[in-house]
Parts: sequence; structure tokens; C-alpha cells
Amino acid sequence: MIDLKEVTKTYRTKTGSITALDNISLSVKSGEIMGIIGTSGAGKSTLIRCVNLLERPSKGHVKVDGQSLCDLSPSALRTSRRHIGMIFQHFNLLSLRTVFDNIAFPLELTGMSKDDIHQKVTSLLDLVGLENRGQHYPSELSGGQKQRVAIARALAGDPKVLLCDEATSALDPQTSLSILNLLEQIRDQLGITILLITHDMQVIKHICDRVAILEHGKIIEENTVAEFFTAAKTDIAKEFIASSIRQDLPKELAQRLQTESTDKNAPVIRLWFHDESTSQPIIAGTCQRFHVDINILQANLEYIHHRPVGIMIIKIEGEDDNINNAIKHLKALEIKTEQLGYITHHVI
Amino acid sequence: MLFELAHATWETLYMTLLSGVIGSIVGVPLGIVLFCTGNPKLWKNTLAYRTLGAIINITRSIPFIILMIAVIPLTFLIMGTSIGTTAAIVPLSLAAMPFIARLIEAALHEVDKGLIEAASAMGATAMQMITKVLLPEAMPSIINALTLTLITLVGYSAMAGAIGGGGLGALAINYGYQRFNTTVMIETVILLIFIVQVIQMLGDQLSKRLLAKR
Repeated sequence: MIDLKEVTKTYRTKTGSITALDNISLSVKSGEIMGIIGTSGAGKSTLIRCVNLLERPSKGHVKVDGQSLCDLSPSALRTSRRHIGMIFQHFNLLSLRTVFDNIAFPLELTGMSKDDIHQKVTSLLDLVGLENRGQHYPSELSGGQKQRVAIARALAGDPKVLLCDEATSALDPQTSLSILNLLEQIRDQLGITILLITHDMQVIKHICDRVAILEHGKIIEENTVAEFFTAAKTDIAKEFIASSIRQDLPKELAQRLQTESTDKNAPVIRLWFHDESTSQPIIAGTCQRFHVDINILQANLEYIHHRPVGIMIIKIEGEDDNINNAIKHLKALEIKTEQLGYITHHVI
Repeated sequence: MLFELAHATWETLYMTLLSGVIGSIVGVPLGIVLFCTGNPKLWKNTLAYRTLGAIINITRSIPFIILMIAVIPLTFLIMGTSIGTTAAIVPLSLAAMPFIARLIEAALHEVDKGLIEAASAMGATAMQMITKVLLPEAMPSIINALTLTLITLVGYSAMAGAIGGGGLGALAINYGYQRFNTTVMIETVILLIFIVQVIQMLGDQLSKRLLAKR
């Protein structure tokens, strides 16, 4: 649905040129929610603006729904843009228009009749859950409600693609979650394709099917969200994951980790559970079968894209042979294991 | 004397309002063009922007009393006379145009850039952007700008009295200053204050009513 091919964007400044986007190729399938995450200054907002040509790429091609946008005349581009919805961090609503008239705005631009506009806007207000707010002004709404208006406005032209520019960054976590749920509901109901940019891992975790990491204008990693969380390759990806999931030992314990095995310490292992394995009594089973004691140092269960992912850090104590067999057994299971080191017995 | 005061008040209002309207008819579009040629999302044109800006700066820096005399040939050409209330409308309008243009440009600059971007993403033409986004969103500031212009014109129109322009300014000079009639002087000043107050009040109310929505 969205295809970027070798997109490069350079800005000329007084001191030289800055490359905001460096040879980016990216494709988003129809009906997919793709998230692009990056720190500020990574080029996220330039990238999303290249999709509807608010920023024109210096090089490369942009295709949306099979149409190559860079080749279009200005008026053909305007027509295409009407089928690409966009929402923004600061909502960008017209302050002197009511909610109703804000949603009607893109329809007015196309010269739609008043009756048709009325019908369309009413159904959009329903869709975003603002049935009774039509005659209010944006200043009378909360941030979440404003973003709902903006979403309704973006959907007015029946777009196939919705671009979200940090759409939840100005909202509190709870409101942010409700907006994300709305976006997902819209995708499910209307089959719309969503490309979003964010610096917040929660957004990726909550609704994205796929994720790409942007750093210094380059996509350095791209994966499905489920695999991304368990098999991140780059350091930046790992940092983002660490920022959203507690997966390391508490500092007090981490400082006491030893690298060598002695008879006074026991191995510390990190386990990643997925889906079914989260609901099985793996720890208890291992204890019974191999006659070892398992101490849980840290445990966490997260939902990533509605699928449970568990992270547990354990210490295994017992006879050496039993410990080795237990570790072998865990590694053979459908869970990811990582040995972090050894820790002395008396710590806990 | 009462008749003269009433007549002079009428002349002042006539000069102020008419030159305000004529000044706006030219000044508002000029301000819009100035803003648009300076904006990369609209009709960015550095040459046009700089040229217009220079012309506006030059006309604005000419003191009104000099401008009034300098444009006498033009006034004569347009009005058929270079003295009287109607004649004063020409220099007053000319002075108002660049003044309004700059104020409108400033008012448009206050509109959130995000709105221009959003409208652009929705496929708005430049014209739709101006009529449906920029002007409505800037309306409270535009009203303030026009209020300020009218009040400035009240002051200028009094100056026009000095070269036979009529209005309260002429009355103050002819009766108050040259004939040492302090009463008339005070009366005209009070009337001028009153006119300024009323214009300011109306402008404030209008823009406040719009701002209440924001």
C-alpha cells in the first residue's frame, strides 16, 4: 500500500547540507499497522511527511496505493492527498470552527453538498465516539477528544492510508491507550493501512504489526513486533526494548553477578516465554523433575500486540549435574534462555 | 457652533471610515500576498516578497504630513480637487494601505503552522488555504489590526485638517488654535477621544466574541 524506494532527503543550510533521510526503502502492506520508532532528530517526521509529499524527497520514489506521487501534477497530488489521512501530535484543529465543521472541512474542500457532508460527519462522529460533541469548539475538549476529532477529520475522505505523526505523544498514558485502541478498531473495521511514527515503545507494543527503527536517517532494523522484542539485533533496538520492558536484574543484584562458576554460587538465567509457554508450569515442573531449587529473582509478564510475553530471571540451585540437566531441559523448550552469570547462594 | 461641531464630526468619520475601507481593499490583499510570497508552503517568491516589502517600508517611513503634500498631483487627478474632505481621502487611503498590509501579514504569521500543514495534507489549494484556514483563524488579530488602523486614521485625518482637509482637526486649528478659542479646542479634543474610544470598544468586542470560542 505504501512503498518508499531509496528515498533520500537532504536539506541545504548555510553551513552545508544535512541528510535527513538516507536511502530509505520501506513497504507497508495493505491493512497493516507499521510503526517507525526513533529518537528525536532521527528523521521520523521527515520520513512520514515524505509519504504524502509534505516534504518532497531529494531522490527516490514514493508510491501510495500503486500511484507514484512524485510524478503527479500539483492538482493531481492534491486529489491523491485527499485519500491519505494524516493526524498530528498537536491535533491541528481549526480553533474557530466547531467539531462538526472541523470534520466537514476536508469535505468542503472537495465541494461536497451540505446534505452529504451532514450525513458523513454524523457517521464519523459516531465512529470516534463523539456523538454529542458536534457543536462544541475544540477549546472545550480534552486532548484525547481533540485527537478523536482529528481522526474523524482524517477519515472523512475515505482514505486507504492513515499517517500518524506522534499522535499520542501529547497525551497522558491512559488517553494515549484509548486513542491507540481507536486506531486499531478503525484498522479492523475499515481495513485501513496505518503508518505511524513515535518515540514511545508502548505505542509499538500496543498496536503495531511491524516496526522499523530509524537512526540518523537510516532504517537500521525492521521486523515483526513479536520477533523484534525477543530477537533485537542492534543496540538501539535493545535500548528501546529495555525502556519498555523490565528485563534486567535489579541493580543491587546485577552488581554481584560473577562470570565464573564456583561451588559457592549458582547460575542465573533469563527466560523469555511466549504465548502458550506463559501458561505452563515450567518452573515447578523443572524443580520436580531435576530435584533443583529455582529462585525467581525478577519476573514480568507483558502483552505485546495482545500476545503475552513473559520475562523471568531465575537462579538454579542444587547438585551440579542436576543443574546442568535442568538448564539443558529449559533450553530444549520453546522458550528463549540466556545465561547472565552466577550469583552467590546467600544473596537472597 | 453646535452645527459646525456636528458637521466636523461627520467629516472626520467620513474620512476615517472611507479611507479605512479603501485602505483595506488594497491593504488586506497586499498583506496576504506578502505573507504567501514569504511562505514556502504557499507562493514562496523571494523576489516578489522583498520588492513588496521594500515598497511598503518606503511608503511607511514617509511622514504623513509630507505624504499628503507629495501626493497632491495624484489627488487632483483622482478627485478633481486637492483640498477638502474628499480630497483628503486619497493620502489617507495611501497611508493606510502599507500600514494594513504589514499588520495583516503579522496577523497571518500568528496562525499555527500546523494548520497550514494539515490543510495542505488534506489537499487544500492555496486559495482554499487562505479563505478557509488563514483568514478565519487570524480573524481576531485582523479585527484588532483594522481597529488600530482606524484609530491611526482618526489622528491622521485631524492632520489633514491642517491643509484644508476638513473635519474636527480643521475645526481645532481654525477656531481653537488660530482664534484662541479654547472651548472649541477642548470640545474637538473631547469628540476625538470619544470617537477613538468607540472604535476601540467596538473592535475589542468583535474580536473578543471570536476569541471566546478559542
